[in-house]
Amino acid sequence: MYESSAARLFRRVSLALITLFALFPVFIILETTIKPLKDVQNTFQWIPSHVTLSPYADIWSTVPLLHYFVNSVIVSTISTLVAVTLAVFAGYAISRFQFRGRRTFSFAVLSTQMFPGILFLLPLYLIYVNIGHTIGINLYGSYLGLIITYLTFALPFSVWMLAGFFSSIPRELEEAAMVDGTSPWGALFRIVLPVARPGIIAVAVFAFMTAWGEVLFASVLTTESTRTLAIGLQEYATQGNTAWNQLMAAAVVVSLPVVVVFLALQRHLIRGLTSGSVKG
Amino acid sequence: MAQVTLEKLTKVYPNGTTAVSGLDLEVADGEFMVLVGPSGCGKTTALRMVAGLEKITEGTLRIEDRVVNDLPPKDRDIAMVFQNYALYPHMTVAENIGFALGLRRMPKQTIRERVQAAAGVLGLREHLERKPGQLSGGQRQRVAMGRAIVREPAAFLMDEPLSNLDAKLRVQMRAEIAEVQRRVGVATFYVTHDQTEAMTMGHRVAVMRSGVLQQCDRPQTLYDDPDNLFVAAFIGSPSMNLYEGVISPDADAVRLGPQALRIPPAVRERRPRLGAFRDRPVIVGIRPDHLSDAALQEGDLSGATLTGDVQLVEALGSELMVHFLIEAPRVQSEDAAAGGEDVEERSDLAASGAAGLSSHAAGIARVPAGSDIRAGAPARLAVDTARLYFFDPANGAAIRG
Repeated sequence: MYESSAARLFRRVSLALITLFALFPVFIILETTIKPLKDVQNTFQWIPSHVTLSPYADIWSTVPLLHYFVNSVIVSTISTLVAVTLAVFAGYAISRFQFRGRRTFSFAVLSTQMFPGILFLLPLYLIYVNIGHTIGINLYGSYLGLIITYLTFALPFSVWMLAGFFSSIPRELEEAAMVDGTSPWGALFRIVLPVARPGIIAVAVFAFMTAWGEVLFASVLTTESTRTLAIGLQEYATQGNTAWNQLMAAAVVVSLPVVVVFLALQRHLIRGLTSGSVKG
Repeated sequence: MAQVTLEKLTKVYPNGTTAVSGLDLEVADGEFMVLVGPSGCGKTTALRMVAGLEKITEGTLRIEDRVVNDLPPKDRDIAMVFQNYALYPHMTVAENIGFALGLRRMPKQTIRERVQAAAGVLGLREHLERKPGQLSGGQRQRVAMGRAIVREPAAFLMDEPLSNLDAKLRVQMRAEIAEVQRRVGVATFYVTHDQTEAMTMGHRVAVMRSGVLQQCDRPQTLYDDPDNLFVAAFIGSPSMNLYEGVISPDADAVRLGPQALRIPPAVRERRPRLGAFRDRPVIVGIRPDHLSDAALQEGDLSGATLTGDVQLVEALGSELMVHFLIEAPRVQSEDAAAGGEDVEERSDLAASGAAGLSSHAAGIARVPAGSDIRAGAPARLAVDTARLYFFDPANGAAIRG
């Protein structure tokens, strides 16, 4: 594509500015984590005058961070696994089979996405508490309750994403597999799922990240023992004092797993979907 | 021994449309059977019923004398090549070809040997470790073939496997597929809408229309002796010229507008039923190959020429395609329109050339390159009257016997 030098200059400068704008908060966070609290509370310094790594050591004792971390991992991982498993089958059914109520089902799934989440907060809380009172299954304050909550966020989107993804895979691939000797289930597991891997991974990343970073529902539906990281971070701020340097250090530690997982998987996200299987 | 037998095979979709009705076909061991017809004629549905991808509504399907109506595809011992190849994009070429063998729990060593052998036949040895996305169209086509031949199945099913290739590659792959099929000697069911593919590849060709088998025979027989107007118009390129004519009272000539063609005694003997059409209209078919420039012919041409207005001359180097109009009623038959690929185009030409005279009908003649025929002038065309075709206007059936 032809691009005049003025246009190229404009593109580079504006992209550089946007990048700076996006990275600036990250810089502040990282910089804050290596300052003593006294320096953070003083006038802002671009270059820290005293460098210390103690915030990274202190975060674990100020707040039971490891405990919250484990809680977050349990809740996010299980809700992701369940969401992806269910969404694979639901999405496949919507994409491949004609059945009574197929349209209704897919629109019902989509319609849950039309309301702001906070609308569900109070009803969900009441339902959980009442279920606990009447049949004794304790959803309020338990892992299970939070997992179910996060499933209601992730599932509809995942089902739609995967249904669209499966629809982009030519049916002939499954037919070829069945002629080659698989059962219909074999065609799904041996051909469709591997081919749909980028889509499944994208959906999994989405489901995991929504659960990992969710604050609103976690703040209401968890108790001391099931508290997740996103809520736990607030505890660095007490009434009299906020340990900004520790808060930022904890934020870095909390983000790391997500960033690492994302970097590990992005290769699969980018890979060309069904390229080469059929013409074009 | 018949390898694949279709008996009264019928497919009715839930919405009531009949895609295939009462199809009877037999494919012998090693035979290359081509199923041909215009789009929507049910040929692909028929093939998918054989594959087990489409439920059979009625009729019996036998593969190697086993009724397989209710068997899933994997138990039918067939291999299929799809129109879009349907290669598994996440597997290498070797894995694609060996997939079916792996499913049958063959030892790895055997699989490797058979994949190598199939790849050798198809010239894919250097590409075995590539993914389908890195291959050209022709190579993907070969991988799809490899996936079929490595199985050594009871039958190959091919669903328009060449229609995604460009014209030149198609001609090349046409020869390659025919050659591979001959070498492995497996009964083959090949679906196409291209009559040239059907004629060049098939040992026998089954012509279908609207779900009904029209005629099934060797390609030459279809060309020389079509059962009806549809087959006559469908087979052959350019397609047969069709005119409405009237048989003379003595049944020794056929009138086309103001002109007449003599029917040689040999033709009358071969088609005694022509006598029943004295003074009655018939549809006359003349293949473009059986028309020539009268100026280049020697001997007595009386009663064996047609004079037409030349609209267009296409020089192909070796020969000329002469598009002409003659004064004769056009054939108003769906059969002819559905069969001929270029009929519509020719009608347009007739409409523009004759300024809306529906009494004029178009035609094409294939004449030698040395001819002096020019567009815009009348031309005298010699007709090989021994090879005239006659059809009953009432039902389109060939008049013979």
